[in-house]
Amino acid sequence: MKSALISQIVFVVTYIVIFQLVVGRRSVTESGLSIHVIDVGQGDGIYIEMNGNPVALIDGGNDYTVDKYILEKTGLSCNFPLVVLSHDHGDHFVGFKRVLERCNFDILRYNDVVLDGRAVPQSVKNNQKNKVKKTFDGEQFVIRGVFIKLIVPYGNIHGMPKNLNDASVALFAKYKDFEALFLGDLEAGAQERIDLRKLKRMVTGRLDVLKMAHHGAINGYSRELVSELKPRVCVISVGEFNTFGHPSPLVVEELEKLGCGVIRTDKAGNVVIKSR
Amino acid sequence: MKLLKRNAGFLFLMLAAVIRVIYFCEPQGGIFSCVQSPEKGPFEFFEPIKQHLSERARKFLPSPHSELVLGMTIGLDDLKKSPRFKDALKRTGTIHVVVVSGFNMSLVAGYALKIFGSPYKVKNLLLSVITTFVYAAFTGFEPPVLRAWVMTSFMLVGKFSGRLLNTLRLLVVSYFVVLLINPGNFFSASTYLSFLATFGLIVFADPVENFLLKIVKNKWSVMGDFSASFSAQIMVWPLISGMFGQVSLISLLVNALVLWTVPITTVLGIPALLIPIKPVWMTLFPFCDFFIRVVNFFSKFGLATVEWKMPMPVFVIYYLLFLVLTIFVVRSKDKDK
Repeated sequence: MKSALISQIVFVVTYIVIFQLVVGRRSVTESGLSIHVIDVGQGDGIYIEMNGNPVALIDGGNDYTVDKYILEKTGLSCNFPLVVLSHDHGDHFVGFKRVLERCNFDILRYNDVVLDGRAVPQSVKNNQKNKVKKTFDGEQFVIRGVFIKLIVPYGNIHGMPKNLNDASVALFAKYKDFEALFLGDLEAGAQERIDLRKLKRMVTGRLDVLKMAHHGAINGYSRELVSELKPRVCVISVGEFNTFGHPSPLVVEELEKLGCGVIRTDKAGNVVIKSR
Repeated sequence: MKLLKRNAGFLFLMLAAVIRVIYFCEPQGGIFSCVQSPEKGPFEFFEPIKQHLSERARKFLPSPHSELVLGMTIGLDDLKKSPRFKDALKRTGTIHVVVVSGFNMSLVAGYALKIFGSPYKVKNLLLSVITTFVYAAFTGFEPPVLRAWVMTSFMLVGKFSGRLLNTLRLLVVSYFVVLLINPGNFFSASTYLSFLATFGLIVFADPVENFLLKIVKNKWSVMGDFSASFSAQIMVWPLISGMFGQVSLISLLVNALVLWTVPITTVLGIPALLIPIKPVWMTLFPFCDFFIRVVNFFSKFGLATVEWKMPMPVFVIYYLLFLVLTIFVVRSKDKDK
């Protein structure tokens, strides 16, 4: 009886070990800054890490895909120095909220323009009061050597705004001469409110990565911003067979004309861009 | 006449179920529609508790591990938030695992009997039946749960009265009780999938395992799981093919590889949901992780599933053949006794 039990335990352990060796987690520590635009379908979920350590999480998509991705990257215990919710739309906050349920974070920033504040659970607001704040335009941090600046073109719009996309928090990240700009779902009008002269001063030559606003929709494209910042890579986070017709073929064509290499998550899956 | 008298209760139950289905369901615009049964309403007060438990699971486990545990232990279907894993489960024919089934019910009945004591006392018997009823209600009284609850309750009563009950007969009785309680189940796919799978397990699992033992000689740990999933699969796959137009080609293999983690996850999962201590949850993680990895790994194969809808004549002939085979198996089992 005892030997049967022992042999069963040995069997189970061997079984798990063999399988983990065959298809197990192969997490390789990357050096430098890595930007992961996670394939969350129609939505946004961006993870930024430095030398394999988490720096920030921006949004989390419409389902729990981001949580699985974070597990692959960080293992079971996860601690983010910064988490940012661009805005309160489901395709940005469902997975974000899921990650907050499990992972620890040092700083949470959001633009609480919707009165019910559904995206940031009340429990999170109550438990970590000192860390959770509505953000303001120009707030900046240096995390693991990465400079981060938050951009809120319209500031905090009180009450229910006409257009929640325009309430998005954009994020600029810089490590050495590598820069990236994440636009949330800011529409063209809101993007034109960003002080491009200030932003250009922080960019060395061309902007390396531009996460396109609003899944490459025509209303999320500002020709002025793209022409000024001259991004090398334009990432569009978009779902395959989405019903909105995103990304707009016109936007993709324009970006290519302006010399920006377009990478779409619906075609490429998870997109990982590393600093030099 | 003697046969009629012996089966009077059974016939009465069947008749009542048929009347209830006819009374509540009627053709509307070419399809049958059933009046919403009021039985589900009273159990809605469980929803906040379920919500609380799911938050607890999500606090300790990542996705889709938390959804897996919640599905296996309390039948909570939150897989819509993990669509890719849900698709992987479908492609590998393992989606049946993420629901509460007969195994959970027998587990809860076992726990109840251990807590309340001897099953030969009326009070203990009643408490055990009530406990399993509360668990069934808590999990949402879906057809598989209802079936399992009816069968478990009859088994407990059988144990109490010292009678050995015929499980096949019990399965048929539970089908009519399921219809009596909610006539809408007559048109539910999960009703038939659950009954056919259980039917396969009752009739074919032992002969299949014995057959495998004759070939392989040594008893391997996966053999029982393989026989069980094979017996269930041979009964349900034509229905799945007919209803969903899809058949998983690797279902048997994947089920045989992962089914052993299900009882462990369920046994550890129920106390983990009740006791919010991290180490309890951490012991669950490797088993869930193993399950998820195997399922995801095999779901990536191009030929994991094929699109095929079984034609109706083949469907009918298939089940008729299995009916004949069932009679043969049951008779040979009776002879062995």
